[in-house]
This record gives sequence, C-alpha cells and structure tokens, in this order.
Amino acid sequence: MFGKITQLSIKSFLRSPAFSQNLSTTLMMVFVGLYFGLSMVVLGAAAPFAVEKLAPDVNPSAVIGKYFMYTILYFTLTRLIFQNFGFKELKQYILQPIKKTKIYHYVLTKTAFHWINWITLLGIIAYLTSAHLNPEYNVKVLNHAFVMIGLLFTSNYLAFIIDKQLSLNKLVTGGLIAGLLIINFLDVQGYLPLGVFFENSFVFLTSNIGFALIPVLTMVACYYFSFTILSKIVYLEDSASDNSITEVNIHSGLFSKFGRAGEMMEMELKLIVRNKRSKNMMYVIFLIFLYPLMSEIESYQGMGWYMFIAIFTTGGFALTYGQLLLSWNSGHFDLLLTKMESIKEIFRAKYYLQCMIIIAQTMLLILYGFYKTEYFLLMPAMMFYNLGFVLFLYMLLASYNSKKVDSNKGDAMNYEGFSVALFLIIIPIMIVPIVLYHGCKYMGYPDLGIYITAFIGLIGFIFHDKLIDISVALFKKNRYKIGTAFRSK
Amino acid sequence: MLLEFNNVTKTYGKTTVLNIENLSIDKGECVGIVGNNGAGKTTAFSLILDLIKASEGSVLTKGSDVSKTEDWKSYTSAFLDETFLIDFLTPNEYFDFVGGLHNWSKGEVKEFIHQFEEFFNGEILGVKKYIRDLSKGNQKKVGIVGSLIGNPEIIILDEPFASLDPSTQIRLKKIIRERLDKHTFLISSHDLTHVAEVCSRIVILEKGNMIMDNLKTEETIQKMTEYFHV
Repeated sequence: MFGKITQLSIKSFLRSPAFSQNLSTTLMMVFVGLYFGLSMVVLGAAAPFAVEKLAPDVNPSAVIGKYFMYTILYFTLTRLIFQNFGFKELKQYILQPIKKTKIYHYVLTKTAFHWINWITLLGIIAYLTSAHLNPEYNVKVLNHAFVMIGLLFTSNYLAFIIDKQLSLNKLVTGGLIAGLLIINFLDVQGYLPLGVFFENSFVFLTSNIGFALIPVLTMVACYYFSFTILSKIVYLEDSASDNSITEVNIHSGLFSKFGRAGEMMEMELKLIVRNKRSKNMMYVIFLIFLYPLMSEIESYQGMGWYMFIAIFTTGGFALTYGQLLLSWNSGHFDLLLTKMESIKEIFRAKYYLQCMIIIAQTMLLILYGFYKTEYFLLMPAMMFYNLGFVLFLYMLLASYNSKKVDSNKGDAMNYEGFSVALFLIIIPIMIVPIVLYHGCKYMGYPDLGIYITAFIGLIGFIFHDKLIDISVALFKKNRYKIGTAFRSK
Repeated sequence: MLLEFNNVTKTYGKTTVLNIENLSIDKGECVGIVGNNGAGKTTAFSLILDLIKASEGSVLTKGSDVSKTEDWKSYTSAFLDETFLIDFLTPNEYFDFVGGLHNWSKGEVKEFIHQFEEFFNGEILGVKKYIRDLSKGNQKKVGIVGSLIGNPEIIILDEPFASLDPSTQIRLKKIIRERLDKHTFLISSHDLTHVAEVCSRIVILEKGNMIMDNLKTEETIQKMTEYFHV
C-alpha cells in the first residue's frame, strides 16, 4: 500500500505543471537542494575540528550539542510557518478500500521526508562519522545518534501537533509561538541562560544509553499523539475553515480615488490576507524588515553594504509579491481579462498598491536612521529606485511570461510560479546600484552613485504611466500564452 | 449585427476543434448551442471572449474584431467556469467587486442582487463563507448572477444548468425568460430540453462544425432528439 501511494505521489509531482513545464527551475531547485545538503555535510564533518581549534578549553561535543538544540528550536518555529502538513492526499485515499490507520501512518511518515529533516540528517551523519573517525575526539557515537535523531523527529511531530492544534485553537498556538520568541529574546539579552540549559541537557542525555533513549521515546510519543490527532480531525478539516472570514476593512475613500483600479486594489489586499501562500509571504516581509539590524553584525560594512540592505528592505514587498505579479490572480484570471474595462487597469491597480505599501514600509524603515544615520538618506533614495525601476522590471517579466500559482497552497519550498528569470533578475537589481556607487566613489564623488540611483527611480516613477503602457503592450502580445498557462490544471 | 463569426477556425496541431464559416447573432436573440462533449461549444465562447486566439478568421461584436479592441468588455459578460469566480471572496464581496467594475454603487448592487433571493434559496446572500467553501451548485449560482450585473448586452453562459438541482434549474429558466428583452443570450448545454425551453434559436455543433442552425422551438426537440439518437 505504501509503495502504491508513494508511486502516485511521485507521479503527481512529476506531472504537475510546475515540474513538467519548467525544467530549468526544477534543475535549479535541485542544485539549491544539493548546495544546502552539501553545506550541512561540510558543516557537520568540520564541526569537531573547528570547535577544538576555536575554543580548545571547552568540551566540543557539548558546545556542538548546544547549537544543535538551538537549531532544532529554530527549525520547529520554521516548520510552523512554512511546512505544509496538508491533507489533500489523505482525502483522495480515504474513500479507497485502504485501512484508515495505514493512511494516517502514511501521512505522518511523509512529513518525516521534509527537506528540513533531510539536510539536518545529512549534517548529523557527517558529524557523527567525522567524530567516529577522529580517535582524539572522544564521544559516544551511538548515544549522540539517538539523542540527535530523536530530537530532530520530535521537532517534526511536535510541529505537526502544534500545527493541527492551531487549526483548532489559534489562540493557544499564537501564545506558544509568542512564548518561544520571548524566551529567545530573553536568552539573547542574557536574562535567561538557555544556552547553558541546552548544553547541560545535551551532556546529560548523551552520558549513557538509557538517558539517550529519552529523546527517542519522546519522538515515539509525539508520533502517536499526532496519530490520535489525525484520526480525530480528519473529518473536521473542512468545517474548521468555514466559520472564519478574514475581514478587510479599508476606509473606502482610500481606494475610490483610483476608480476601477481601486476596486481591484481592495480585492488584491483580500487576496494577500486570505490565501496561505501570500500569508506566509507576510512573515517573510516581516523578517526582511529586521534585516537592517544586520548592519553591524555582518563582517561587511560601509555604504555599499548599507545600500544593499536599503534596496532589499524597502523593496521587500516587490521581491515577494511583485515577483509573482499576475500569477497571484491565475485562479480568476479569465474574469479579469473579460471584466476589467482594459488590461491597463489590472497593471495600474497592482502598481499603485505596491507603491502604497512600499512607501508605508519606507516610512517605518527610515526610523533605522536613528540606529545608523546613513539610512536617513538611503531608505528614501532606494525606495525611489524600487518604485521607478524594480517594479517595472517585474512588471515586464510578468507580461512576458507568467506561471500558474495556487495562492492557497503554502509550503515554503513551493516554487510553483517561479522561473529562473525571476531568480536571475535579482542580480542586476542588487548589483547595478552598488557598482554605480563604487564607480562614483572611485572617481572621487562618494555619494553621487546614490543620487543617480535615486534619480533613475524618480524618473521612472514620474513616467510610470508610460512604463505601464509598455508593459501592457507586451502583455497583450503574450496574453493567450499566459492565459493558457493559468488555465492549465 | 451584434455578433458574427467570420470563417473562424481553431486548430491545435493538426486537429481542428472549431470551424464556423458564418454565424450571425442579432440583438435580442437567445441562442442555445447544443452539442456532445468536444463539440466546440466552450471553444466558441472562449473565442468570443478573446481568451484564445482564432487560428483563422475573426469574431466581431458590433462590427469590430474582439482580439483588436477592448470595447466589447463593457457590454459583454460571461460565466464559463470557476476561473470567473474569485474564490477567496464571499458571494456578497464578489458581487460588489463585479458591480464596482461597472461603476455600480454598493447600494445598486444590493438592490439588483435582491431580486435573485429565490434563486439563491437562502444559501448565498449574507453567508459568511468564501466562494471556495461553497458547493459546486452554489458557486454556479454566484457566477451566473455575477454575469448579469451591469446589465450587459451580451451574456454568455456555458452549461448553466449542469450541477444545479431541479428547482434551481426551473428558477434559472424563469430568470432567463424574464430577461430576454434586456440581453442577448448565448447558452450552451448538452441537455436539449433546457435550452429548447428558453431559447428561440438552436445551433447544433458536432466535432467543431455547425450541423444545424435556426431550428425553431416547435420542431426543435423532435429534430434534436432525432439527431442525437444513438
């Protein structure tokens, strides 16, 4: 039974439009996956030596254990936001003559094959192999294996449990996530010795085989608890989503100025807050918002680096929402094509909405100026660059070729709708201004590059109507191709 | 002439899925398009709505090619399938959105929608559910009424009777009959009796070709039954 369902899953993946029509993207994702996997292997294998070298007076396995536990903690959080514990498959099989318990086991086993687990497992194996082969590095490999693998899959099923409780009780889980964040904050600030606790627990658990089995037992317990939850909520999944509507109350005067485009803008906002994938996107934007705090932590410093941060943060919305510009609407695109008085209205609506959000974001981001005065200049300057240049690049790309996206499917590794072009375009967006800056600096005008970049954006912003016309003209040429791609099941 | 097909063919590779030499539809007509699966009904509608490109020939509304202007959008409306619905809106929000595109105020939309309360059977208006959480039949009701908003001159409905319950089918026929003087309807169906009841003109498509046109209601059912007899 497992074999058959797995076969079907593989078929559904290979035959999905995202895979078959988009081989180059798939290949690239494979490379990204290999890269992450390889990084983990190198990290794991090098860890014993690196810690010994960097801090000869500590117990290296304890320090590595501590960071491993931190990683597990952060991964648990990451899973809650991004991992998709959906039931879509379950529903296909529940009516087939297969024992229900088998299906539940299948669903739960499948979550164990998530990419987070893969890369962590690779790291663990590399670390333990390296530790085993190094005679000076005296650790009990078996105990470590039990503890680390036990913790990894405890995290997997714990996230499953929390995720499912979330669909039943949002408040409890919200509190849990907030609690985790607070603990983390207190730890970073030094009020809570979480690191010491982790280190001691790890040393304790690995000290003998009996204790090492505790995480394994926890894992088994979490698995069985997940199993009970699954059998309870499998019929509730539909009704759970029914009784809540996310209200979007916008002062109607705000959009009415834009006429029909305004109607569309209001609809787009609803799209963002009511679909899983776009909701996850908001988390990403929030994380991007915190990025300027990296200004000092990173080893790079100076204006070029700050400029990069400013482009990235003020353009956060363009990088996430703007990249899939038309794809967000692939589910109801025929309505827009036939109902919107003209195609231009669609583009105008999307442009103005992005402008409003980018400007609002920049107003907040400017406050980082109190932290680094450079941002008083850089944030507004790079905002114009985003408004007048970056947005149009994405608009042109979307008019040339757009892929179908199911905006209510929310896994982070869901690359449906992405194309290699979307990844590659980021390079010139980021590099051109920085090269411009360094070029001008080299010639003796340190800030001129910033002004030129902002000026390019300003020109684009002033003539946005013309630029929208160009995108619309390109879209009209490709409209049948894009429409067909959106309609494909 | 309100709508014309001029030597229109649509081919995919070597297969011709539609080939209509000439089809003219006048203002105020109600045309039922009948055919088996794969007859080309939906293809014909998609061509009128400029969703796909004709391989040859052109579709004209009010004398202008639909693929060259966007004028037709202000007086043409359609409900072909779920891609005409916005699944994360509630039915009321959807009606408001479509109304807004026709410059209708929320009050006007509300008043207009009100007359379909019987058709909705209490399951649509004011319901706190996204369209994606409605049943297929109820989604269809939303789409059909959505296509009437803005009083468009041409209304295109693809299989409107399929997946509706019998009472709703009767109500829908009543709605269409009552609005015959306001709109030009194009309605496809593979159920002969439904279209024959509301449409004055029946066109039969088979494998992309127009087999019969201009059947009048009295003789229609008998002729069609003969044609589709296995």
